[in-house]
Amino acid sequence: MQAFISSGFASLPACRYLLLQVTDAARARAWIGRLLDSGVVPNVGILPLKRAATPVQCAAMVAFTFGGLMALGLQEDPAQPFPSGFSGGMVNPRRSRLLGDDNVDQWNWVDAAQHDGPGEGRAGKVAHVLVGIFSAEPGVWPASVQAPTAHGDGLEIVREVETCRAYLRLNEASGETSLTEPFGFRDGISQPVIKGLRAADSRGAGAGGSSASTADDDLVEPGEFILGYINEYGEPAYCPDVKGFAQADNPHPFGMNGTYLVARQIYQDVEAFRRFETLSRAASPGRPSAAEKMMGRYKCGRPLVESPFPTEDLNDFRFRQFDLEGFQCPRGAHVRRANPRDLLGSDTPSGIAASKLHRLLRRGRVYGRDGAGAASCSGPCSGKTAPGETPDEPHAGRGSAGACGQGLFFVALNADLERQFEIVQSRWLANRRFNDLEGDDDVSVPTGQARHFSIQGLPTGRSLGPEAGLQDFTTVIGGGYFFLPGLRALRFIAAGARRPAPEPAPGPGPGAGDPGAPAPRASGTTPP
Amino acid sequence: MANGQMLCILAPIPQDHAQAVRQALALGAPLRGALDQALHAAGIFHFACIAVLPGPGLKEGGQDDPRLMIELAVDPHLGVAEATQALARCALPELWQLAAPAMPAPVPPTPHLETLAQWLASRATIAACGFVGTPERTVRQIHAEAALLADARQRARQTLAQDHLRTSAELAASVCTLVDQGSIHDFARQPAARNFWQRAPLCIRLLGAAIKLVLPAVLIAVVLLGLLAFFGLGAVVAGSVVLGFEPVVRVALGVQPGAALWAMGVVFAGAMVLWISTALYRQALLSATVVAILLTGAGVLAPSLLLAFPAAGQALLALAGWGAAAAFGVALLAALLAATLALAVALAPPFLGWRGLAIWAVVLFVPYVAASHFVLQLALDAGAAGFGLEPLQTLRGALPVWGWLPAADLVGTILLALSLMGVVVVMSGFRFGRTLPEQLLRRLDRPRAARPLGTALRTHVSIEANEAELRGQTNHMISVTDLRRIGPFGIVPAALTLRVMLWGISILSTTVFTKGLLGRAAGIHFGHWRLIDGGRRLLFSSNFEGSLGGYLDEFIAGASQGVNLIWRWTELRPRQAAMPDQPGQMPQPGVAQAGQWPPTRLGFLLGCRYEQRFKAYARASQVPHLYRFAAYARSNHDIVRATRLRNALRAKLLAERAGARALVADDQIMRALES
Repeated sequence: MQAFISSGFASLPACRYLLLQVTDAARARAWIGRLLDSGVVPNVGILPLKRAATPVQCAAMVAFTFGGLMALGLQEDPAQPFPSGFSGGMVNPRRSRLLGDDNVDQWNWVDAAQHDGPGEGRAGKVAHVLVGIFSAEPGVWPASVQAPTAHGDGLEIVREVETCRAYLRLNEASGETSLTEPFGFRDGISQPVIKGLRAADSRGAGAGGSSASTADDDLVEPGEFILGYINEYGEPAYCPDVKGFAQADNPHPFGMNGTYLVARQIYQDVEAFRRFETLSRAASPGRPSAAEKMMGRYKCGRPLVESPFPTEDLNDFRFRQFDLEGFQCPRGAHVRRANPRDLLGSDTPSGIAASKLHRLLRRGRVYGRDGAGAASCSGPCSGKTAPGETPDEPHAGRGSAGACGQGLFFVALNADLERQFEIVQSRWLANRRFNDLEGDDDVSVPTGQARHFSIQGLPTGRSLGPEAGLQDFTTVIGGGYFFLPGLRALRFIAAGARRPAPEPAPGPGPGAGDPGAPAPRASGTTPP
Repeated sequence: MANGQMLCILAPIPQDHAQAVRQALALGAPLRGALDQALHAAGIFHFACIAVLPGPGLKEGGQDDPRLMIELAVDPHLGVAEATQALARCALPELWQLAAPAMPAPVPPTPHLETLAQWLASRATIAACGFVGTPERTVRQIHAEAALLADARQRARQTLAQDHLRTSAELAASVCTLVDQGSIHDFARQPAARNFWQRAPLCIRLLGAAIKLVLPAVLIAVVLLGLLAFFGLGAVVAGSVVLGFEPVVRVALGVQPGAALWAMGVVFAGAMVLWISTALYRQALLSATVVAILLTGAGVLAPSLLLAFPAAGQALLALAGWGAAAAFGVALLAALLAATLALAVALAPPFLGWRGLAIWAVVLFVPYVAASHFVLQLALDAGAAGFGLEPLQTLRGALPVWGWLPAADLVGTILLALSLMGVVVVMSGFRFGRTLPEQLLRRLDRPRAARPLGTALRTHVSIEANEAELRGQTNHMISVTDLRRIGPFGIVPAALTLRVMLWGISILSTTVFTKGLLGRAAGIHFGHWRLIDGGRRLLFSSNFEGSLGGYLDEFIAGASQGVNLIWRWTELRPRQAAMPDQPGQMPQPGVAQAGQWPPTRLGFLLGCRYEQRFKAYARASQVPHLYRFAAYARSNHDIVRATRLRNALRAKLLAERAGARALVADDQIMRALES
C-alpha cells in the first residue's frame, strides 16, 4: 500500500499537488509508469522516512478519480463495482447539495462533470489524477520524471497547487512536525491511530506510546482506512474490482490495500478572521478568545477542556465525561464537531465506539498563492529558511505580509466515503443542529448567510452573530473524491497497455476511443 | 395510542396513472405548492408524503398495479375518520386529481368531498406499530412553543445586553413576563399535555403493559386449548372405534373438567381456524367455507355424539381438560421463566444487594413450588392414563429417601433449586461481573471476517435525489420488503409472526417506554411499520433526522436486535419498478446477496451487524417519495427543549406566586435559552 496512508511525509516540507486530466490514456499510463519506476511512490514499509538507511529526499502519492480510472482504460467489474458515492463524484448535484457545497460552479477544479446530462462548460476543470510530490527542497522532481505535459504525456495540468512550507514546524526535541493553518491554529492534532500499523507521524510515536487513559479512543481498526482489512464493524472493508486485475497468483481485488482520498481546497479569508478576532477580544487575559472558543482549542493546540485538570497530552480529554454542557469547549466548536469523541451514543463507551465509525486520517497542508507557488512568497517558505528555524510564534501577525498561505489543501483518507467523510462534513460540520444546538455554524464551513455561534456559560451564555464580525471565513474552491490505489493496483494501471492478457479486448479499451493515438509504447522509460 | 397518529392510504392505480401522478408532483409543479399550502392550513399534519410503490408482484391475480401511497403523521387522538375528513377538506381538488383514477366506479366527474373522504377513510390504515419521537404534541403546540422559545431567547439577550451580571433567577423572572395573562404566549400557563401513560409511575406502566400483553395472551392460550380439545375429541372417537369404549373411557377417571371449557374450546377453535386460514390465504371464500365446514362439524357432530354416547362425552371432556391443563402448566412455567429473566434484566445493579437476593428467593419460591406441583400432578395423571393408577401409587410409595415428601415435592425441590441457582448466577453476574454476559453477547454479535468481499453500497439516483431535496429538514425513507414465505419453525406464517411482534412492541412503547426512545436512535420523529397487500409485504416508513447512512448506523449500534427480529422475516424478491426511473428489479445486478437479510444467530444477533449487507439490503428496499410535506423543520431536541422551557416557566410562575425560589426551573430556563 502507498506509504501516504500511514504518513503525511511531514519530514519532507516542500509539497506540491498536481491535478491532472487524462488526454491520452496510453501516454498517461507511461508517465505514471515512469513515476513508479523512479521509486518515489514508497511502500509503507520504509517508514519512518528520516530513519531509513538512506534519507528519502523525494516521495509521491498518486490517486485517481472514478473518471480518471475509466479514462485510463479500466473497466469496473460489474460483480464488484465501486460504491456509488465514489463513482458519482463529489460535485454531482445531489452530492454537492448534501455536502452543502453550493458554489461548485465556481470551483477551480472538480472531480467529475457536474451535471449528469451534456452541455456544461466545465470540461477543462475536471481532474482525473491527483499527484502529490513531497521533497525536502522545493521544485525537486524525481530522477527521470518531469512534470507531465498534455502533448507528450497525455496529462493536462488542470491545476498545480503549491503548498507553503512555513506552516510546518519541526519540533527538534520530539522529532514531530506540526502544522499550523493560516488562521494561526495548530492543525492535525487529533489523528486516529491505525491498529497494527506503525504510527509514524502520529500521536504517541515520539514518546513511545501515550499513557493517557484516553489513548485507546483513537485506536481504530485498519479497515476504516485501508480497503480489504477488518473495520470497526468486524468486517473486511469492501474492495471494488476492475476487469482483468485478478490473476492466479494474486486473488485479491483491485481495491485491496487502497483507500479513498477526499481532497478539498479551502480558501481561508485571513483578513476577515483577524477583523473578527480584534472585534471580539478575550474578556480577560488567560481566558480563551472567542476565536479559540469557536475552534475548541487554544492556538497552540492546547484543548479547552481542562477539567478535571489540564494535561500535557493534547488529546487526553473527552467531552461527555468532562464537559457535557459545553461550558469549557462550546457545543458547536470545531473540534467538537470534527471529532465528537465520546459525545455520540448513550454513554462514554458507546460514544467512543460510535465516533470510531466516522474517523478521518487527515493529510492536509497549507497551500500558497495560486500558480506562482513558492517563488512569489516573501515569507520563509521561499526555500531559504529551514523549517526548524521558524520562531516560536511564527504566525502571530500574518495576514497582510509574510508567508503566502491562502488556505488549506484538505486531504483526508477513509475507507467509506459515505460513512466517514460525508457524515463528518454534512452531519457534523455543516449541521446547524449538531449536538442539540439550534442554529450554530461551524467556523470552517461557509454558509452564505448570517452566521451564529453560541458560547455556553452562566447564567445562559452568549451568542455571537454577524454584529460580532462573524462571517464566512472560508470558501471551498475545489474538491474531489479520489481512489488511492495500492502499489500493485497502481502498477496495474500503469501497465495497462503493456499487459499481454487483457489487451486484445475490443471496445472502450485503452486508446481505442482515439483512432489517431499512437500505438502503445513498449516501455515508458524513455522521456519524450 | 401512538399508532393512530400514523396513517397510510394505499390503493392500486393503473400503470399509466402512476406516470401522471409523477408528472403532477414533479419539482416545481403547481400541485406541490397547492398541497403544501393546504396541508399547512389544515394545521393537523406533522408530515405527509406521497409515493408510488411498485406492485406486490402477483402473477396470477393480475393485481400487480403500482400502489399510490399517501402517508400522514397527524395530531394525537384524532381518529382515522376525522383525519381523512380533514385531509379531503383541505386538499380536495389536489387529491382528487391524484386519487380519482384509483377510486371505484362510478366516480363523479368533478371533485366531490364526501366521495373523496369516504374513499380515503376506506383505504386508510393506522400503523401496526408506530413510534413517535415527541409524543402527545399537536402541530399547533409545536409551533406555539417554538415561538415562545424564540421570543424568550430574544428577551434574555436584551436583558443581558443591558446588564451583564444578572443571575439565573433574575433572568428567568424577566423571561417569565412573556407568559403574562393575555399575551400570545399565555398558553404556557397550562402544562403541556401528557397522556395517562406518560404521567403514570413506572410500576403502573409495567402493570399496564403486563395486563395489556397478558390478557390477550391468555385469550390466545384459551383459543389454542380449544383447538386441543377439538382434536382430543377426534382422538377419543377414533380410539373408541379401534380399541373399544372401555379402555378409552378409563382415561377419564379422576379428572372432571367443566363442560363450559369444552364448549368454549370448540367455539374458539373455530375462530382460530378462521384467523389462521384468513392470514394464510386472504381469500374470503375459502376461509368462509373452511370455517363453515369446521363449525358445522363441531357444532352438529359433537353434541350428537355426546347425546348418543354419554360415556364418550365424559371421556373427551376429560381429554380436553388435560390438554388445557398441560398447556396451561407449560405456559405458566414459561411465563415464570420469562418473568424471572425480564425482572433480573430490568432491575439495575444498585437494587440488588444480598437482601434483594433473599427477597427474590422468597418471591420465586411460591410460584415455583406451585407450578412444579401442578406439572407433576399432570405427569402423574398422564401416567395413570397410560399405565393405570396402581403402578404410580407404588412409585409414589417407593421413594424411601424422600418418604416424608410426596414425589411432587421432590421434583418441585429440584426445579426450585435449579431456578434459584439460575437466579444466583444471573444476579452475581450483575453484581460481580456485569461485563461478562455483555462480553459474551458482544462476541456472539460480532461478524466473523469469513468472506473476503463485502457488498458495494450503491444508492439509486432517485433515492439520492430525495435525500438531497430534504437537506436541512427532517429526512424520510420508505422501505418495502416482501415477507418470507416461511416463518418461525417452518410452520408459523411470517405474517402472523410479524403481526404479533409489532402488536407487542406497540403496547410496550405505549405503556412502558413513554419517553420516546427507540433503542438509542433519538432522532426519529415518526417511524412506523405495517403489513400491506394482505400480509405479503412489510412497509416501513420513517421521518428521521440526519442522513440515511447515519440512521442505519444508529440502527446497527442501538437497535440491532429489534431490527433483526422484524426484518429477518422479510426478503427482497425481484420487482417491477413503479416507473422507469425508480429502483426495481432487486437484487440489483452486481450487489451480491442484497435480496436476503444477512444471516442471524439465535434469531436476534448478527443480522444487521453485517453492516455492508444490511445497508445494501436497506438501500435496495427503498422506494423514493414523489412529494413530501413537513409542518416544521425542527429537531426532536428543539421540540423537547421548547416544551421543557414552557413547563419550566410555568413552574417558575407557580413558585413566584408561592413566594418560593425555583432553582431547578431557573436552570432549565437558562439551558433552554443558551443555544
